[in-house]
Amino acid sequence: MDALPLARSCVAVAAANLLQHRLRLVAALSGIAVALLLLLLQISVLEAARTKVTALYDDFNFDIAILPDIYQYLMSVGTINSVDLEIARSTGDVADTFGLNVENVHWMELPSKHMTYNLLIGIDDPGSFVRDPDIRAGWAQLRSPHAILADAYSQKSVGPISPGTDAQIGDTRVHIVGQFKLGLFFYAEGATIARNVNFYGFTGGDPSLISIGLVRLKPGVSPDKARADLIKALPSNTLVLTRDELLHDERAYFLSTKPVGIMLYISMIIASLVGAAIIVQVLSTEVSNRMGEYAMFKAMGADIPFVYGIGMAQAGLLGLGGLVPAIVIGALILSFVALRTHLDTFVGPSLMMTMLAISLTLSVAAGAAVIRRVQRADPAELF
Amino acid sequence: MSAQVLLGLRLLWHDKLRLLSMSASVAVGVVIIFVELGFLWGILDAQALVATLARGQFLVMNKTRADLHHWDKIPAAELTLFNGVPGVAKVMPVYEDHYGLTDPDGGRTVDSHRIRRVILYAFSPIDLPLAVGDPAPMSAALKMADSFVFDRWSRPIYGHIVPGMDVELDKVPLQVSGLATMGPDIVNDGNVFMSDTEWLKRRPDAQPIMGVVRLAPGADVEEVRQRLLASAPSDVTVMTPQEARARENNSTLKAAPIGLLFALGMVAGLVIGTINCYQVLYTEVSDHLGQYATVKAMGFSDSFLNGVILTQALVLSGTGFATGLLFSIFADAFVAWLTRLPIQVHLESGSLVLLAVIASCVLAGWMAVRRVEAADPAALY
Amino acid sequence: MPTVQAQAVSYAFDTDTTPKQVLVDIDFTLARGEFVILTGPSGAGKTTLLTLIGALRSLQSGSLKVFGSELLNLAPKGQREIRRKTGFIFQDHNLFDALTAAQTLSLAMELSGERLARDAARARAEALLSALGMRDYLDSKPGVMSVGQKQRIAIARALINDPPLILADEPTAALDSENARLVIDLLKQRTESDGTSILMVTHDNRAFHAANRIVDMVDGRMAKT
Repeated sequence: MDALPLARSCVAVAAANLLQHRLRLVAALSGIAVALLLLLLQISVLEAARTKVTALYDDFNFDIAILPDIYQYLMSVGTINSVDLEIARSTGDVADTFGLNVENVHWMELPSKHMTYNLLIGIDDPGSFVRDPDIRAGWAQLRSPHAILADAYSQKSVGPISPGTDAQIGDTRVHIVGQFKLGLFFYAEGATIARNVNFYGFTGGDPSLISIGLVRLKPGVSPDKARADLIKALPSNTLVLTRDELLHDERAYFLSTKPVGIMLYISMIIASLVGAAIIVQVLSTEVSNRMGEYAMFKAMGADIPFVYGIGMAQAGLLGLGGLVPAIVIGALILSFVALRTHLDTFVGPSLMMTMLAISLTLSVAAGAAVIRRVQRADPAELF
Repeated sequence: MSAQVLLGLRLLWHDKLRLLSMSASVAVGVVIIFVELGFLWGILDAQALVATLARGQFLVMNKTRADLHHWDKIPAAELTLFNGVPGVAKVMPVYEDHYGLTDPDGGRTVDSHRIRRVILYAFSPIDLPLAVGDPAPMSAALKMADSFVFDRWSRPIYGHIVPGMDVELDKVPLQVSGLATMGPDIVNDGNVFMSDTEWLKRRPDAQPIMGVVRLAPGADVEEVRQRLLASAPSDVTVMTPQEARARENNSTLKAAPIGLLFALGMVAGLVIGTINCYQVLYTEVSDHLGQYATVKAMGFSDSFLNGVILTQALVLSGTGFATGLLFSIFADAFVAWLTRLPIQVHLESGSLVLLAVIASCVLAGWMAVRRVEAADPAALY
Repeated sequence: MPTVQAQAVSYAFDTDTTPKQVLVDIDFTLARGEFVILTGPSGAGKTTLLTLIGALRSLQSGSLKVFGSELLNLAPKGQREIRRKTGFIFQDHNLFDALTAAQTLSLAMELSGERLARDAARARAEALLSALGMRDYLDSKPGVMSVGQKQRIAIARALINDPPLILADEPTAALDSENARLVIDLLKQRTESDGTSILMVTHDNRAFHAANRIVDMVDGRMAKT
């Protein structure tokens, strides 16, 4: 039998078999849908987290980052000496440098005096370093010593942050002159940007120290060579990483060392196993109940691919049948999460394709585990 | 025992392997619920660990310190004010800061960093305001000069650290004088401990992060609390460790959608358990459809057969719960080891989970009963 | 009063296309203590008649009285009462694998309304199984029995409450000659000693000699032979 008509016949018989007991089919599809929904939510949150943890760095153009050797991740930075940027320039590989400061500060909403915490970011003239158009546009507004830009994606707990609003950082009154969009969801309730010169005023920090030095290389210079040169030139209390290394390390630390990533991975494994187990369970019952029918097909001379194909088609239909409601409900939940948290959890084509691939893999695996039993269907036992 | 309950029990007990398999199906949902609950409680317990470990009846902190993960310190002088309050036996300062610990193995874990941030707690080795180990050895270890005690439950990113080794803390080599047991949280990866004397040698201007207040024997907690509040400066807050815990839990749940995420996971577990229970009961009924039809033909009512199914559903809720609970203990222990968080089965939640499992299995039984109603005695001829 | 009295009983199955008439104007009486065999080709309506008399299906038209009760529009409770006074012997034994022979019979005895003590119930089960040559399997489950042995347990289940009416469908199909004779003789004895009425569908001519009457059915109608 040709492949396409064979496949169509398998699917037709498989569908008829599944539809024979509708309540049980609905229950099975619900279970598979719930497992796939869990998987979808976890994959989406994990992906969103992977993107979000490097959100600030993604707003900057740089090839190399010079960090204090005690740097852990964005919320635990330390400082380097601003002289280190001069040293970097002296290596000959560097086109330009940029000082980036970050510090967790007290944020007081006015007039309520409600206190929260805020990540204060200090920047130099954007030059060629800042990618984000809102930050570039806002830079011009940051003329006065009390001017700041506020992250429009800050959590509601920080209070009103529209341009024109006043608030307090530490003991200093500040004035919001513009906004940018960042949403440092896992790190801070809110973020603000100030010029570096004002950053030190707000934090009482030492102007000779900076948190992170960003470096752009001259055209044609390889980041790895530049990194090696900078390590030789810079003091031993610095950590020099290429952009790729920094982003990789940031994600690895958050997702592999911190427990949230581990928990999400474990939940994903559980959800996958559950989905596969439900398909195995339903298929096992189906095969057991229909051994006589399988034996009859064999007695009639049906090819083995056809006989096996019915079972595999049932597995596939179950997987796909559970996938559709999982995606629909998942998209609704994740849209809600995205709107509330500004995490990018919208369900797009790539996530849908991932889920399709997972669901088919689970179906095939489950089907393969059960379908060998069909071998035992013996036409001789029909008499 | 009624005939239908007896029949239901016998049908399940007859094939023990099958009963195990059916229980395992229901147990899957139970494991999911306990693992998600374990995650949630593990995170909350870890975040509030310092409050839980305090060996005193009150904690005194800077009012601006909104949760236990911020650095607002309290002047030592303000802490000493409380020593004179009647009913107070001791006010024990706890210092906290973050340090860089250099990996003695040369840095080989997740990324390229050799120096790892670690939280340092410093306190009196005699008073021991935090319960992080057996008092006698802890006290002895803390008293050693130029040394620190390492939290054995820190995440493995610090390398292999054992007592007797020299390890750089803030680039100064110090001896590891002992091991404590505390554990990290979702923000901090590890802890070290030092005596307050040792700490103040290094940071003479250091201020405590909080004070742990221990009451005199027989002192009335409420009365002392009122006195403490009355004598507290305006920038100081006084709360019990339980209150600090509750505040921390609130703050943690607000900061991240973990409540929603894990609650969804628990609901998913319950749904999966219900569906699995229904599937196994459905299969059970299908396998015995002829027998059920015969029983109907003999003159038993539908409600008799429904009782047989519901008996099986209830038994499965119990065996599924027990199986799931056993697996959850191991699952949670495994996740605790991976994450270094205090993830475990909370038996207080156990009774609620059992009720939920019973309800879900009864629902499954009610759905499966429809299958029994389809058993047609006329089809037996 | 006859055990079963049918007048102008007709029955049709609803199919996807047109209704299929399986019983047409059946007039039939089964007296107390009478043993009647129904024969006929497949599709003649024999088993449909059995299901109607046993209140396993609802009557559509005509009059059918069993133990004096009219089955037309009989409520489910009434149908259960009929079933409890009827011993059903099906082609498939449909025994629960989980129950021993004694437990199977004990379950059936639940329906009798008698509150027998455990020992008395066991003794009754033992006696009946002995009569069927199955005494040694009193505490055995179907898993260790042959098909014929299971069928004898199923027959015991049908007889344990001494029902006044027995409806049997090929009860000896799975039995060898010796056991088939045992079962037929036992049923015959019931008609003579207890006045039990028996209506049996069978093609087994080993049973014909025991019957008082053989009724042939063709295309939903009855003829006497």
